[in-house]
Amino acid sequence: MMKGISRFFSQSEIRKKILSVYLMMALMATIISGCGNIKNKDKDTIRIGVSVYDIHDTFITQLMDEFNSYADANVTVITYNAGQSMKEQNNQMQEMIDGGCDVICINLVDRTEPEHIIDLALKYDVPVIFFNRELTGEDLRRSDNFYYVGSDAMESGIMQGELAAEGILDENLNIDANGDGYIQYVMLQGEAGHQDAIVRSEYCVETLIDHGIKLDRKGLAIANFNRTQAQSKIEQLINAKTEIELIIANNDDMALGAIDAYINIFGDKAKSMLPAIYGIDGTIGGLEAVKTGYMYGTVYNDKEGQAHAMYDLAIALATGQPLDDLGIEDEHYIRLPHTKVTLDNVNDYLY
Amino acid sequence: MWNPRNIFNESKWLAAIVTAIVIGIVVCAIDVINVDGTVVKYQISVIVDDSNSARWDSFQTGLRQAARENGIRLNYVTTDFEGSPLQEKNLIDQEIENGADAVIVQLCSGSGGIDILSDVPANVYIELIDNNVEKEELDNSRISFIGADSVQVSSELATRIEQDLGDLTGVRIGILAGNLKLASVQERINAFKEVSQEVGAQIVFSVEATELTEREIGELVSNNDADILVALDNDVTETAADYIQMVDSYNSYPTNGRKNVKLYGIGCSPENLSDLDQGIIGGMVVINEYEMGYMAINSLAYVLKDERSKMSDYTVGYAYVTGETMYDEGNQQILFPIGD
Amino acid sequence: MGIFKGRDSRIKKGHHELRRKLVARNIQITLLTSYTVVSVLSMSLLGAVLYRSFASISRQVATDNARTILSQTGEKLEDYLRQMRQLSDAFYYTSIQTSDVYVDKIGSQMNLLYESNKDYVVSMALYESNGRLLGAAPSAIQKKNIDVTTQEWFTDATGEVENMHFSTPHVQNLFSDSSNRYYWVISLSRSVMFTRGGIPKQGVLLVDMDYTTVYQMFDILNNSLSQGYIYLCDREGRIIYHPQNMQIVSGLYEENNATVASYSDGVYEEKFNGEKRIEIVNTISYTGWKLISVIPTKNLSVGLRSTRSFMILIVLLVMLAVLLLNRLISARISSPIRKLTASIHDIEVTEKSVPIVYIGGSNEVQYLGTTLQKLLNQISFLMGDIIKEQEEKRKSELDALQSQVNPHFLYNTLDSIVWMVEDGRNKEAVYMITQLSSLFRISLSSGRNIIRVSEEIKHAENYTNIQKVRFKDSFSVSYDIDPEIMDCCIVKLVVQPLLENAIYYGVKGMEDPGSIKVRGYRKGDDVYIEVEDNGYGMSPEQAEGLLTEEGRTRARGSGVGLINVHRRLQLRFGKDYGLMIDTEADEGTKVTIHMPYIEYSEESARDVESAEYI
Repeated sequence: MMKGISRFFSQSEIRKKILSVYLMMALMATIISGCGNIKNKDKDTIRIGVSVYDIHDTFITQLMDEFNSYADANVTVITYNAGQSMKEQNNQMQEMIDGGCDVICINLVDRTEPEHIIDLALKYDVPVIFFNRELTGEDLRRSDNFYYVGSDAMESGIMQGELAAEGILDENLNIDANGDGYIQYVMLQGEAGHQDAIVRSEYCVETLIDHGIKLDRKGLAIANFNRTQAQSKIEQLINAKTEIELIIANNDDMALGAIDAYINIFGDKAKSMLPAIYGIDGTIGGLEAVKTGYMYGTVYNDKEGQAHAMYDLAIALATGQPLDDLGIEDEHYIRLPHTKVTLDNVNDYLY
Repeated sequence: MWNPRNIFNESKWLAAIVTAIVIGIVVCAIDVINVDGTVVKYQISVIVDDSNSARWDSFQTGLRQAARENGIRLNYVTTDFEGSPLQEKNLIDQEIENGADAVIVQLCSGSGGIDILSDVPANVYIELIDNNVEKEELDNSRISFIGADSVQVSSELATRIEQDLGDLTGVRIGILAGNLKLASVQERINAFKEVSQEVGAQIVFSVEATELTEREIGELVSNNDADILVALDNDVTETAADYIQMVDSYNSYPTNGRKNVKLYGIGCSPENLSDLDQGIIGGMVVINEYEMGYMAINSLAYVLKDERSKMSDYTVGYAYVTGETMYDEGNQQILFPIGD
Repeated sequence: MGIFKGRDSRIKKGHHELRRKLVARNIQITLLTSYTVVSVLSMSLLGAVLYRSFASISRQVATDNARTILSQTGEKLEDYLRQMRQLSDAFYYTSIQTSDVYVDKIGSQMNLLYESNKDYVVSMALYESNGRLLGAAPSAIQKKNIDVTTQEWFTDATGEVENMHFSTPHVQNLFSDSSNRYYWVISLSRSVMFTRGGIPKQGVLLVDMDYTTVYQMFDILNNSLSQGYIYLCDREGRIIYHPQNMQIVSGLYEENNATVASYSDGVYEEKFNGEKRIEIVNTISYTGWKLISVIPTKNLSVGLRSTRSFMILIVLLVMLAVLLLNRLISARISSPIRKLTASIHDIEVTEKSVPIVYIGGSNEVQYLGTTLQKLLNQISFLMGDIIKEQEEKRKSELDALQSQVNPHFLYNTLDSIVWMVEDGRNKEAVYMITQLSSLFRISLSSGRNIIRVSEEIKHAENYTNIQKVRFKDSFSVSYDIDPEIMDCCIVKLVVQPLLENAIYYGVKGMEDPGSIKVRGYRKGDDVYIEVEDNGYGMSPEQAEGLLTEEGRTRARGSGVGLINVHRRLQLRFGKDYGLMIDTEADEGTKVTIHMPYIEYSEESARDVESAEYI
């Protein structure tokens, strides 16, 4: 063996030989390690990454259920829960990009801080569909590949107001129980400072006023869109012997919480003690409440429509198809209209 | 003048030293370069049925924690097989095509499972969770299983029920089980039957309850005059609990009164825990799903990083809890894993 | 025994061979070996020393870094806990103490505080000492059948009324939540005094802090650490946060929090589960919680691994360069020596040719080469000298041989004899023939060169007798030899040439009859034989010339010059002996043979014969 090595070395200048071997190995090592991450991707499958702001949000959960049901065999959906952490959502954005997602759907935790997500999307040129939690127009317009799918909070507030107004003006319902011409009402609001909550509340009340309803506010409680918190707040009001003729809740969960409060306190007599309750969202629970008469009406937030629109848009973006028939307004927005739901049409929405 | 040939002819040991040094240089060079270069990031996909169900919360927490610790890219695939092995197979294939180095799978069918697994390319690792198959048929050393020991879990449940009631003689028990096509489900049923019948209990019915509604469960209970309901699966336990409360699955209004049947189950979802807390479920065996998720990723990461090591099955822990004991220090860690 | 002997000798031979091989006989290899060993050893030593000091420095740096991070984290945590305490204070002093629970809606006041802190706080609640809930935010819907008086936060608060108490993290078990959510909280509880209907009462104020805030803070911190991790436990060692908490609970990981919790602040080197680690402890004020940073020491070396590889790489590269340089240098030094060696390898010096010695390299080697060349040249020259000497000797021998049979003398004598026979002077002829035959017999002496003096004298007498007849008695010869020396060794044919000279250069042609006297005597250890004539004599210059080369060639008659005789004597007896010439012009010449006294015997004759005094 030694002779062989001797011969090897003696065939040319040792130094050069060593240098070339070294360089060769260095080159190979770099190539190998650099190549490690590149994997062959089959372009027949479409990968959609989704990050929801909180998996405990009923509406979002039901929306995502709809969305997932549309997925064909060649479409893979990867879902992440940001758990109300913007930082976590930023990480998830990176992961989705690394994971080779063709389209990314983001349900922003913090609408005021989408920079990191936008930066990553611009850097890797990935199309992003924001949904349900709306960011500012300027941010959305930073790329031609950014879209927003959702609904118009203002519209829902107005519709809720209209529903309530109709109900109040309907003598059969006798919402003004004490007949003093004023409606004693309680507003159950979502999060403090939450854009949708504020918009819905304001427009609902404004609409009522526009319809000539005279309002007497007996309570404004922030229940953070949470059913139990709403229950707690309403119970407190009930225990304080507050006279309540109308409860307006920014979402169905809180409306259900209000109902829970009455059931909890009055038990079987609850239904008779209930004031008029209106919610927004049209979650299955809310619809059931409307169906069973516990709630007088809700405003249906078209989760099916949104899910479908999101899905179609995502597929179109991933496959590079034209976006003409998708109902995009203003180049970036797809807004699904709300519909009012009362006992009359609730069955249409329930199944 | 300076002819290398001379050294090597003159001194063989000098040639040896120089060769050794050169090899050493090359090795170190590679080592130094490698550390600066990008580290290979492995990709593991997770395919379980009804992936977004809250039942997988603990499991996901474990997965993500281990993924973070090991630098693994985790793809938690959104699914809803509704019992279709074909769909599951499709997803597995897609994930492998997309570059998954390993796939964590909850098989939704017993026999179909073998077919799915036999098609898997040889360089992909498969970690089965919750439901096992007869791996010997597959002759593939890259498949292993993590889950609870079905026999032990069921036996524990049966024993605890006996302790709770004091005496099971003549007690009428109705068994609600998961997908009967799965071997682990059968094991659970058989183990439970064995232990409970040994102490004198009477099994009045034993059905696959995955598709049953609350109403149908109610009918079974009244038709067979069951005293106790035993649900051997998380989703089934949820449905049974709903039945007990006489509410439907969306937890909206109570529509009827209650029926006085005791419910015991196996599960881990927040809904079940809440029901347990309220006493709707008398006692529940909670499998440490966090451990399952964590160890699934951890052991895969281990074999991915070290080709020579082999995969082996792993049994996760479990605990029997009641409404009173669920907040005890040891239990609350397992029932309510933290880690976002 | 015989067999073993053979083997032994073979082994011994082997040992010798081996030893020979091991002892570096080759300069180049010696140089190379010693350079190589020195450079390899010193580079390795240097590398090792540098690496160790680097390792220890980086370890120190890592420890210092960890301490800094730890104390910063500690401060952050303390700030957070203080904030929560201030919240509790705020509520207590502004609301509880100023309100009457009976009248005021304690719940709504709590709401305000809750709303502004809801990122950190899960809930706030006020309880009576019997466990009854007076107010809570955000939700006051309690779980059914709950008894808070058994919960740890409650008992801690009532147990020690002057302090605020932080609990270890636990799942909140107070309120019902329709969404089945559970919250991990750290309970901050304190005993309070409130008023109901004007009556002061005891209660407990509970602020449940969101544990996930703490958890995330530590999670982010631990993720940013390049080595080791940080965990938090209370005074008794119960874990509040640990990055591997779930693994510890599941039995997959072990931690020595129980022991470390009792340590005071500082840096400790511990061994746990066979692993060496550095542990740094930092105590959080007010709560007595311990913030512990753990750095497994092998992590430090893993981080160092690339550095170590890099250092080894550098060391190896330098070693290689040094080795090759050594090779170069040793070659340059030793190659001239080798060339020198090669050029005189099969050295063959003859008197005609001398190998060309390589002269080059360093000064010393050049000097060696030059000197060697000179030596070789000298050898060659000396060889030539020796050859010449040998030739001389041969010539002398030849001369001597020639003189043994002198043709001239023979012709002349035979002529004389013929005349005598023709003249009928037979008696004279017989006399002449007898003398001649004796002369020749002694001349030859059977090839011997050393004979007795008696024989030599006989020879001389033969000669002079013949010459006397030939020269008609124109001169007279007398022999006076001491009988003592008759049996001594003498080189043959030394007297006769003297007589010849005496006749031809001394007395021949003298008017008066010449006389030659031959005398031989012993003096101590010496023997002298004189041949004296009263002839013409010589001038000193001529006398000089006799013992020179010219003397040789000028010889007539017997043809042997005096120098020849002189040389032969010296050759046999040494430089101290030989001829001495004593002459005076017109007076006469006396040539003396000087020899050592050596009694003739076969042995002594042989000795003298083989002597070679040059």
